Amino acid sequence: MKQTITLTVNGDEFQLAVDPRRTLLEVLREELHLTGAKKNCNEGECGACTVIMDGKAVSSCLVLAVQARGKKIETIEGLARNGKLHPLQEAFVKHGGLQCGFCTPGMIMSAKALLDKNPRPTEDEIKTAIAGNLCRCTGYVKILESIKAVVDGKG
Amino acid sequence: MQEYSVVGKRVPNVDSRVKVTGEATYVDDLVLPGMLVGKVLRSTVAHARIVSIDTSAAEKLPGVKAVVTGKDAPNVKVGWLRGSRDRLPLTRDKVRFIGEAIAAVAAMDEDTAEEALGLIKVQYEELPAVFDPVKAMKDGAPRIQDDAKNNIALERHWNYGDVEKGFRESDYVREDTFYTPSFLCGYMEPNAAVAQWDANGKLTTWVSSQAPFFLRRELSLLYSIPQGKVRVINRFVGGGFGGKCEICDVHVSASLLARKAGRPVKVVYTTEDEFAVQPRRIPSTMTLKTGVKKDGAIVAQTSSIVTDGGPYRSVGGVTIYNHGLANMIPYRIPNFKFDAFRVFTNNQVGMAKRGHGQIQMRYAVESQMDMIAEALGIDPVDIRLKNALKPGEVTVNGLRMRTSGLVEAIEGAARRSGWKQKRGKGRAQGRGIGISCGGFACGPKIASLTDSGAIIKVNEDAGIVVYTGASDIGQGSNTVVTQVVAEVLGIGPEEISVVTGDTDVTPFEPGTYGSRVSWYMCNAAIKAAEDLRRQIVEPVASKLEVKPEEIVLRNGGLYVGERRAMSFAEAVRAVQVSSEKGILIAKGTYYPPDVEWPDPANNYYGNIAGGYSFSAQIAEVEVDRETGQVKLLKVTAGDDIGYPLNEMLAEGQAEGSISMGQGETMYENIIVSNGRVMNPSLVDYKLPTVMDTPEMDVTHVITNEPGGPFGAKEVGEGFIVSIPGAIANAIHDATGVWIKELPITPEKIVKALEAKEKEGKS
Ligand code: FES
Ligand code: FES
Repeated sequence: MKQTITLTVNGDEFQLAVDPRRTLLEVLREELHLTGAKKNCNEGECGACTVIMDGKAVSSCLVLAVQARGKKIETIEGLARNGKLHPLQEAFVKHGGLQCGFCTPGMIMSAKALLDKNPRPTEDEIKTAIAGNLCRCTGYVKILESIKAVVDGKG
Repeated sequence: MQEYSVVGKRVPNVDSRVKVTGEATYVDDLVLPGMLVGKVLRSTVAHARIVSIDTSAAEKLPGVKAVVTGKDAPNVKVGWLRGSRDRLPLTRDKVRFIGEAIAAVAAMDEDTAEEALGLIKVQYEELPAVFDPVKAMKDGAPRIQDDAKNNIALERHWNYGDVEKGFRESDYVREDTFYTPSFLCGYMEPNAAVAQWDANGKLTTWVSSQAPFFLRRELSLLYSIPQGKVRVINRFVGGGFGGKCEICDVHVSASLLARKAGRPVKVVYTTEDEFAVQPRRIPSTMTLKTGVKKDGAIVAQTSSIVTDGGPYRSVGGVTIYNHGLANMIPYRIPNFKFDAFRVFTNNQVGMAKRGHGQIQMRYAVESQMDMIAEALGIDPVDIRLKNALKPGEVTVNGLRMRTSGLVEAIEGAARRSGWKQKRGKGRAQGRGIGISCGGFACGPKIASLTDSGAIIKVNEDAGIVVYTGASDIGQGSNTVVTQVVAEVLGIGPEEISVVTGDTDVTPFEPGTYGSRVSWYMCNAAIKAAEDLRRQIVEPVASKLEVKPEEIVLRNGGLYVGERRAMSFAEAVRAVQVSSEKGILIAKGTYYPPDVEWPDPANNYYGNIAGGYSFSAQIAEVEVDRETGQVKLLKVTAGDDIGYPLNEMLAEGQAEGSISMGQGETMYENIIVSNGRVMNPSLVDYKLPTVMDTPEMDVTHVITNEPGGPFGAKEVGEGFIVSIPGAIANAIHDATGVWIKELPITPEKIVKALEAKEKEGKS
């Protein structure tokens, strides 16, 4: 039996009838066609599906869509405003914080959740915030540099 | 260091803006009208005859639109190379490893497809299986392929000079055996395919591939249709590292299901699928016997390897050839004998992973090098300087080193790391420092057609479009090709767009593997750009009444001496309106002039690449002697990549290599027991996280390789091959123990320390 839920995604409200077994990730990708959040492991181990829910970074593959009922969801698609990239996005471009790009949306969302709460985190706090986001390409060096550049206002 | 206006600069990756916004779409992001979801049924036993497959219940399940088994597939075997086509894409009569694809289902949604898989009944008659390659080679072992006696899939033997005489003339000889297990490529984007057949019988498939043209060839062979009836289109590729070179059941099941259902089908691998069939690093047992003079100079070496390739030949002899190649670079070995076997077992199939077949051997050689240095009382840095290949040297198997910055790389890394102050002095604090070196061929010749091509088309407003077949899998080939073309034409990179990854559109390219893309593809693109420059400059020169050679393209303009005669766009316009050659299309093809196929009739002798990169890495670790926990603190490295085409991307390759190499050395391992993967999840497998990232300091020795594009060599693989040796040697410096088997886990260290203590007491 489908349940009707309201989701607020990047400021837009959606009324959806969803199967209670569907994850937030599936609903974002398949119903709302917001494919920026990526699916890899589908079991909370890689962070590719990270979105922000009520201010907190979550693995959307572990959240049921019905659990997100009434919550405010932010995805990578909502970051750039009026054609202007978010400072984190700018920094990842400028400092080479990505290669294949598959981990990038999740990585940036984890970083954003941190900076929204704590604009001047320490290096350890940054590492903790992205510890659940796997990246096979970069060795994380330029990802850290990108996030630090934003923290230091050098984005 | 020579300065260019675009080449060498930290130009941001040209795909990065669409990647940070989430606009970049990968295969799984693609939705076609009427598209079905496909799933693959895999073998649950390691070796068996398939008695029957009953798909009737699955077919009756509402929502199921197609079920295919091996019988629906053409009876054609596929594989990477002519000599290695031994694998039915969906097996028919036999399964040979756990996870082998048997059947596939397409349904309206994922849940239905999964349910249908559960309804397929496979009856097996189990056969004796063998999982240890050494046992598999013994008489009487279960036979895995009919055409392979003693399960020897392939063997290679080289013999150069006289090793026995060499050992006799040596002052010190030692023999050690090393083992490296199987590792996952571990790309973040699961392998996936969408397939669709049109009414003309043309197959279009959207994939995530390192080698779309090879995939086209395999699909055309499989379906017995011309290559023109197969169109392979790459989406953005979410990493590859060697694991997305070959055709696999994702491509075959998507296209078979789409053909049967008459609708587009998408198949995306789950993590379980990936652990079952992702081409993985080949496990290797390596016995090295090395003889040296008192001063550490290598006189002779024998290298004997047995590799576990799983039940199919896959990439064939390349992996074992590469082990020998890794013996030959970067040290001078005057007498050398190599005996290598790829053996069939009932484990999962082994293939290519970054540093293919070479990282294993570098770990073995570099560990033994330090054992020798220790025995002779020579500093590990000095023994490497003694043996390092120098510019102009030719190795015994014919590799020609036109340039080599290895000596400078070693010296620089040693100086910057504070080697002299630290080596041998940290054991009391659990600190250690170790060095290792490596090198890599820039695009080794392994197949008959390895040329690259590029086409350039000029838009009406003088914008440039470059077509190449290279796959940008994240390493940044789209960016460096933009840079080299911009440099030749004297325009900004923003004037250029790159089209890749569509076999109907771009010229042929073998693929992104073997560190060939920068070398081959950029050289082809440079030639195309030079062709275009000629097409523009010649008519303009006669108008300006100067010789074509007098015109220089820079700063977006055409210059005669210091005088800017016109802008690039004006020149293009002038050609477009005034001549019969107004439609500007340029092309370039490239094949290195002095490269040879390693000749089997001649001991596999031959210069297989136009250039060779080098690297020297120094690792610093901290080891907790109680728990065996190792922390990798810092890697200081020097590399000779000829000339960095893009400094930022080159750093990214080195940093990614350090992380991946660290994973293989310290944490990762596909644990297989009786053919079953015991840790099929990313967490249990232990991919490195940001918490593991050490400090890194990488600098280049610029050697300006004459045949390389703007002097560049390769950067993707030569760097990773020396990481395990550096870490292993640093762990030895910290603890005094050698671990001759990867990964070097805390348990192994504690055990070795205990054994050492006992030895000391007795
Ligand atoms: S897909 Fe959600 S954590 Fe991996
Ligand atoms: S950029 Fe490829 S996984 Fe992070």
